[in-house]
Amino acid sequence: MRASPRRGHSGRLGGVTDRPPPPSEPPRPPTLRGARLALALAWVVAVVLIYVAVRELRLNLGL
Amino acid sequence: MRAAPEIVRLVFAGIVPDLAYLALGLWMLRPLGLAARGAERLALAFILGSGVASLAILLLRGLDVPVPLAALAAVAVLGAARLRPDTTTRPDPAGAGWVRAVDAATLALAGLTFVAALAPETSWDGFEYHLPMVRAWSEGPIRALPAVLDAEFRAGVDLLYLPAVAAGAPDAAAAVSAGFALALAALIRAEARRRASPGAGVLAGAFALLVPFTLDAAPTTYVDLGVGAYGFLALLSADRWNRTGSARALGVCALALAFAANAKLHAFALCPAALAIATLGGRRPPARVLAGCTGLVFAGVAPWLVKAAVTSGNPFFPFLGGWLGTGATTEQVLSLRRFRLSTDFWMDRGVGGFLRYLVSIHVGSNPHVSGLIGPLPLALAPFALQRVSRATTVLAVTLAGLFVLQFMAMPALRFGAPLLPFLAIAAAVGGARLARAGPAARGLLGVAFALLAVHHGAALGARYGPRLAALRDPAAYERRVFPDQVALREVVARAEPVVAIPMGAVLWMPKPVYVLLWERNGELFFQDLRGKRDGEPFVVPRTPQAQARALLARRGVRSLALDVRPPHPRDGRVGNATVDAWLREGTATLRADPDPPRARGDRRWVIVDLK
Repeated sequence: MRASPRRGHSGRLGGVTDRPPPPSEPPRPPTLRGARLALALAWVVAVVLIYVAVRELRLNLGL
Repeated sequence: MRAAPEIVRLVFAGIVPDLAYLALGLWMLRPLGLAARGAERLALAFILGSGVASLAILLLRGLDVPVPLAALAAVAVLGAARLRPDTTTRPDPAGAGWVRAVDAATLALAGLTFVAALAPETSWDGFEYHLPMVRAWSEGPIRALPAVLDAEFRAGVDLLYLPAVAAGAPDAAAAVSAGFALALAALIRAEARRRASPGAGVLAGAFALLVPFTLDAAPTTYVDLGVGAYGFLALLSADRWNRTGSARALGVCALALAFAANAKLHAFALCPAALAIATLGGRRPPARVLAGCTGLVFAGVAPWLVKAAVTSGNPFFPFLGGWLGTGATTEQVLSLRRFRLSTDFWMDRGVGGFLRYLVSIHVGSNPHVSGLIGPLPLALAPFALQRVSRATTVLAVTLAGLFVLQFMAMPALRFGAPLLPFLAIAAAVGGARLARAGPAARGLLGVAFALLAVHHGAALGARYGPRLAALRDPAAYERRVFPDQVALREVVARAEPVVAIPMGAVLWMPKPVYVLLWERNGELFFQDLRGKRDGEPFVVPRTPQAQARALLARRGVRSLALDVRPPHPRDGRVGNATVDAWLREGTATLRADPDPPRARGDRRWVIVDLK
């Protein structure tokens, strides 16, 4: 969709106010590194493995 | 066994309504000012078009005007012209090779989902009331259906099944559910792509079709995927307002809210949620826009208010019963039905119960809750929760509130269908963040996704495989899945109509039946109902014998088909206090059968004739 022109402080069209509004999302967060990355990947693997194991082995954890 | 021409007719009855609803939606996109491309455009068109089509069917069938497949085919053909791409938006850049490969696999999966939906309905609610209700409304105008309480609730998605059922192809009805599954996957793919990356988008779309939740619901006539699609689009559009400031997004939100509420009453809860997202997310809508949207919601739900007023006498049924009446049912039944919804998860409703619920969603064994959405939301979504905008914070808090409400009132996960796609998107955002950490992270994620795809794929094979074979031999499939219901069908064929049955595949029955379950008939407690409420045991006593007999007589019931525990009826009793009293009095007789057909477990089906 085309951004509609907006009026600036002077009430005239044009100038810097014609720029599209800033995105509502902030810049991307920094990537994970080192121990935090290792921990994150371990978490992902553990969750996926536990899920698959519980369903494949039809484990009943009483929940 | 079906011959090839019959299979072609079945496919036709499945695909034509889907294409007609899509065509209606494609016509709507331009007036609504919705610009989208590819699969997302088709998804938006299907969701919005189906909502309008449902209202049209409500009007037509309310006036007893037929809705033939040929007419829908004409709509679909006329709409084909609108299939050409929208040139007002930029095409997405071509993705990497693996992204295109996942997209191709998802497309194949979509085709498989559609074909699997064409097998006989074997989901319990589907053959017990969704399709029988639609069949009744295809054989006569939309009206009150005696002793079918569900016919008094909203049936916006149910009506979309009507063209296939009216054409004599009820097996094709679930193609609409499959359509909603594909639409949801396409919306998830597009939103994840926008928020994360093309790769995250295609993976989120693919897993949306692979998770057990979709495998369970897509080939059935449960309406949850439809409610999910409408509700998700509504909440997504409210969030889109915060991001873009486009009032058109709020218009779409209002329409989708109305369609969701028309499909299931509890979706009304999404209205205040959408309002909260749109007003608190950092961009307060002008009052006139909000007023317009409110008007749109009311205009969208008004036809169902009229329907409820005509069939139950209360436009807001089942609410305000003490004031406006409860139609053919009672406040007690309505209250018990609401309570019944909360019993799908038996844990307490405190903090401890909620934590157990969260665990059970991932690794429990509750059929209504556990394992349905796969592990990726838990595994990846936490990494999306960093430096989020105000709009996203408001969205997340609102969704969390709705989720807690769901846990309290109706914990079966399918009732939260509008919320679940957001988990997929959060997982996609979190996964994309992890993937940016380097090749090792991407490699490990790839292995995890592959393992999960194999696991879900095996479940898909087990679920869809027999359904594909059922296209040729539906009877064999029914015998395999529900042998007791096939036996019940044979018993009903020998009994005097109307035949009262305990519960079951009403759709399959060759004669008119009356369901003895209070939840379905809304008027008769055929046996004592025992339960626990707030920790206290309670008993609802069975309807007194004379009153029960009068009710059954009023419904034309002349025989009962009952499943009986051992010792099978050789002792002259069936184990139900009411019926045993009639047998003793001599006002009912047990039909002799040396080898009664098998019901569930060691039970047997018997026929009791009423005098």
